[in-house]
Amino acid sequence: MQTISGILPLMTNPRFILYVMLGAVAGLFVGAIPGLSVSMASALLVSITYTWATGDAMATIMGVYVVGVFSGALSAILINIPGAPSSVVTTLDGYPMARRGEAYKALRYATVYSFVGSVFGLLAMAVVARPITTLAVRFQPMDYFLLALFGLSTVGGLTAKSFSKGLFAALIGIFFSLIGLDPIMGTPRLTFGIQNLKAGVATVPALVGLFGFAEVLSVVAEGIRDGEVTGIRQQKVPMGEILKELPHSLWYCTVGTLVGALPGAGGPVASFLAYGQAKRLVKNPSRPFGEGAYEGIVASESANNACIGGALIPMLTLAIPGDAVTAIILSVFYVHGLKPGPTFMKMDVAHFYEVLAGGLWGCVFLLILGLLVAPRISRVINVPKRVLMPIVCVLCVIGAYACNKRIFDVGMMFFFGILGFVMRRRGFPTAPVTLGLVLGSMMDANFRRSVSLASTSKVPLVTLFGRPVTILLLILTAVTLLTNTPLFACLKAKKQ
Amino acid sequence: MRLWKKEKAQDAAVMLLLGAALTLHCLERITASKVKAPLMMSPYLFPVILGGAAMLLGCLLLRTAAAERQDEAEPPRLRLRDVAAVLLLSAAYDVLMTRIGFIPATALYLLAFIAFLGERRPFILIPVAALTPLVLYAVFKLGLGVRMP
Amino acid sequence: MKKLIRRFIPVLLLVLLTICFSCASAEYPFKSVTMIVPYGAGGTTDVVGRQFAAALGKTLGTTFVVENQGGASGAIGCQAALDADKDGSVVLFTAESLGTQRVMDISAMSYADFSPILVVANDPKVLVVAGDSPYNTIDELLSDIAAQPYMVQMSYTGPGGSGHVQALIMNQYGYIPALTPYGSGADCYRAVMSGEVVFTNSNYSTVAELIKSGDLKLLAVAATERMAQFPDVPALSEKMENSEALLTIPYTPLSLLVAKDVPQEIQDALRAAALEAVKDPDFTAFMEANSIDKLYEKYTTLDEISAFYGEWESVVSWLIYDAGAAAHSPEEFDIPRVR
Repeated sequence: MQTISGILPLMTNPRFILYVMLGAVAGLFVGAIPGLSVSMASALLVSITYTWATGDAMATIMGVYVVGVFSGALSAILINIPGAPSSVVTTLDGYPMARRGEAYKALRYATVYSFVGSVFGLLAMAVVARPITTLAVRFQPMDYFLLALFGLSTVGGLTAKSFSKGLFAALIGIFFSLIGLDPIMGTPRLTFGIQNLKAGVATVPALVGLFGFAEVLSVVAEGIRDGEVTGIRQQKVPMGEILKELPHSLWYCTVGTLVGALPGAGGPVASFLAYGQAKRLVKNPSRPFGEGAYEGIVASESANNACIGGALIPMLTLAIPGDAVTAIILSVFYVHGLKPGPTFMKMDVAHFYEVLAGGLWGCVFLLILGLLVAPRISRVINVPKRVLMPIVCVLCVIGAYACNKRIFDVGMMFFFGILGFVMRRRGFPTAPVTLGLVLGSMMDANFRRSVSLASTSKVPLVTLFGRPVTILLLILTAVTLLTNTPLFACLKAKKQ
Repeated sequence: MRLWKKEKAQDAAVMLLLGAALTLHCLERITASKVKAPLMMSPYLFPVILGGAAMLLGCLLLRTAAAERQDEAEPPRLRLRDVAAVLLLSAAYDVLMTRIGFIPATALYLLAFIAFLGERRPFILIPVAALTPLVLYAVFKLGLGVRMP
Repeated sequence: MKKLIRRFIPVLLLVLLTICFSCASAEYPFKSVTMIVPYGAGGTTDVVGRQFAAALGKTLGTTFVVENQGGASGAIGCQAALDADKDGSVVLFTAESLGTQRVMDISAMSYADFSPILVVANDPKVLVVAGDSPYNTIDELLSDIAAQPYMVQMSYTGPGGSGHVQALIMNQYGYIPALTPYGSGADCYRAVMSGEVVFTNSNYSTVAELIKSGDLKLLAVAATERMAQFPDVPALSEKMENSEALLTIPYTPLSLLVAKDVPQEIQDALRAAALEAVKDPDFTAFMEANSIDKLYEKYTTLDEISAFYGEWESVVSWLIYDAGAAAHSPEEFDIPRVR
């Protein structure tokens, strides 16, 4: 109640709304252009907004954040290039839909469920921040390791016809994530003597290469027939039908918010987990998953947008950022003289309301922009491929360059493009590579961290596995791994 | 059907080889490392596990390849020569960008690429090749403050 | 199609015009200067760097654009600053890692590749335990560590980092905690709160709020003097005999540097501006609100700064090497053993 009366003046303040809108429009473009990430845009905003009032700065950044996370879905659906790692899962069903001429429908679903996810996450932040914080703090290195393993174990069967190939793709991702400075010993490893590799393999160039450049190569390899365009049908999708997915979506949102609150896990994990859930929950999808089922988009978009609220929770309550963007928001807080921490939501409540109100208006603009812009932007598909593909290439190059300003990353992008092309030709899915890339180094570091912690304990095994969260995760992972392996399938086949 | 089996076996072999190479490389590194660390804490422990897992998956795939009986449609012929041309073009672009700057390099690249893909009408070629780099430059350099080459 | 082109022409002209304007060269200081922070956003280096950039911008009348270029313990950002145009359009604001990159085999760079402009700040290090920890004083904690070497858990930010150095200093006085490295400072105190480890060594400004709320307990300040706002909390030097020499060194010196080849007159202009900028009331207020040490008051001349870097590099490099965590011996780089 207090919260409502707190945010009401802000929700109706035209100046505040204007700044959110400014951020929202910027977020739409930044998120939709492959390679331009939300974190980059917000980092830039910190410099610009330094002299502004805190409220204006918060409004703009929340606008960018909420809409930027959503608009990654635009390029994911239309040209098969996820704008950010968290939109990778959206490509799995979104792009097939676009190829069938249902881009418009896919975008509608993405918009509506991004909205649902964002609102859910933000409300969770407002209502249950403290309990979620307590839960998030309980997670120890072993749990992070198991969570990552759990995420990866669902992936094998998720995206490929062949379990081995799917898991192998994830292994490739983990391998690349291990390159660079070892987080535990602080020394370089697997750099093969290349100085530039000591910084590790950056996610964005890899992502842009694996999806964007590889897509261009595939199109070229298959040959471009003259004037070929994928037709687009302006289907009318009644809102009532879209909203049928709401009950499932709420579950994905819960997953998203919780995963978002765990520092370091974030959007990609949430959307993969939600997609895995969708495969189990939805018994009769409109089409098989991976061939253009809107249920897949619902899962991915609900979860990755719900992460926003989740990621803000530990940032506000403990000054521990949940992801790259919240790390930057933290920096904004400090620059504006605010001190996030356990007392922030009580003491600095006005600024907390600014975050909340900014986020909620961001959701509204997401819905408006998404519904308004989607039909227009989806005409991109009508551009002939022989003109579109070269432009996509330039975007890939500039996107790879812009995130770290290194020509080396452009080279890495080309490398991943070729890798992605070859993998696709041989029936290896590329989506698990990104998940491996995001999770690999975290798995490695947390595993060795927990070993390090246990090695000095009197009862190492209890320290490692003795807590309820750990046991639960252990069982979950074991079950998923076992039920997904060919071995289990063999046993099942024999029984029948 | 024979072709399909062969492909799967090839994939499995590649997986096995990559896994083995990684494992060997890392074992060699573990013994050569100057920084003292127990095996459980070694930076190369995880890569070794990774290599092992890759080999295991290779074996699994090999088994299914042997058991495979289905017939798969022959994949369409690929224009690998075109792909190579695009790669060469892109590599040249990468080099040119650092030499002559972003705008001229991008314009040339777009011109060459679009022409290569079969678009010959100048009133499409020239505006696209000229405008794209300028707009992108404006967005990135002026709008986002990225230092461009 | 023609209509399309006609519509594009004004846009084209506008873009060209802006580019022409932005390319128009000017005398130093330029319209905008890039400040590279070689760490991610949200950390101490980033936050102090941004404050300082704002103050510098005000004094020079230009915009300082802060650019986070993290990775490889700061090596990537430092390298970028070295590779940039040598006209002062790119400056570097970094923490201590330049002093240890060679022995850690991270890069071939060191402080010698840069010219110092100003050593700005040091975030004081404090020892904290969880709010519900059985330890209430530093004496209890230290005696337990002494009684059970390698058993009391401590989290730190990774080899070569300032937290590691602090732990190695404790080792020198017979206190050997069990060390576990974490990804970031925030991760370190999260580990304390979750009960994974007993204590950690944090930058004061990052944990101030958690100490206030009682989620963390402040046991000691890793320095030779107590902090003004906590007169009851002892400084570590009081508890470890003869440790003053090691504890007076600021272990996270945040400095403004430029590549060595930047012309002298630009360096001078920057230094004059930097000395002016630290007097900016907003900046001073920020430093005081976060209890950050004003190192620019401690090392006032360029000679003092160079001497400080030399001592820092020597002490830390040898500490790390002696602990077996370094890949190369400091001797390979002619770093003398001072003590």
